[in-house]
Amino acid sequence: MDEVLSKLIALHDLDQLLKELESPEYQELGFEVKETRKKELLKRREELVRQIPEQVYRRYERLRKRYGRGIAPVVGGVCMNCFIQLPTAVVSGPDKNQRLETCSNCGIFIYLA
Amino acid sequence: MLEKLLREDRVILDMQATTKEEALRELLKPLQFDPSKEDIILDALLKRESIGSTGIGKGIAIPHTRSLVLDQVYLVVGRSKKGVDFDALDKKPVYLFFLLLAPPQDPGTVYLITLGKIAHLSRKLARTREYLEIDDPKAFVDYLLKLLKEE
Repeated sequence: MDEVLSKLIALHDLDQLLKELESPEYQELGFEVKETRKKELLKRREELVRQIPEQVYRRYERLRKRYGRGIAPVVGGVCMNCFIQLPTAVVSGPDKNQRLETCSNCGIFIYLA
Repeated sequence: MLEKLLREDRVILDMQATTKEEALRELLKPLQFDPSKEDIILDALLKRESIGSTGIGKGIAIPHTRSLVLDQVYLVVGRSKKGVDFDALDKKPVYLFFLLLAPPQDPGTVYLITLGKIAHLSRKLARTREYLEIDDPKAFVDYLLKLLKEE
């Protein structure tokens, strides 16, 4: 898997975790969440961001503001952000996820599931 | 939904792990993800654990995460007869694990509802600890299903 792609996925998963921790539905479940440790997680996010090329990260943040996420899976050839069928050459090549790709319609970074 | 997620081939009754990371790796094994995918999921699980253990006490843990690389909700049940130091809330070893994984979005918030159901089931399981005595995966699943139906 492309190294930047794997970092973007890790960043996405971390952003989603941080968001979910704030949701009342999750908090109701009563799992242990230490506030001090949450700050450490934010530091780890910064470290992760430093490993991503600046222009890629800027685009990720722009997309996140616009769509609520910067990267989306492609399932069955369909981008799960805009639900448009992507060209076969993009979704079924031998170098699946070996390059950082974006959706040709909405521009979001994509992970080929 | 929890009933549909419980599968014999996703039950490990003789976990060998002795540490938290080993336990999470062992629980991921039945799902047979490719190594790069498994590493991403493990990383997400460890990040969740870093802010507070999902070892809820009384010998039970419910490690969980969402990840972009997941295409559906997965549940793996694991049991360790000798117990694992999982940094649980009561600082006691964990004998029973429910690993729950989910994609970023799931219709009807199956993930959160299932997490709640597992937490409820865990309270029943902690009462008798009969789960330590069952050595057949099918019987283990049947036992969990029986407890789920009891109200």
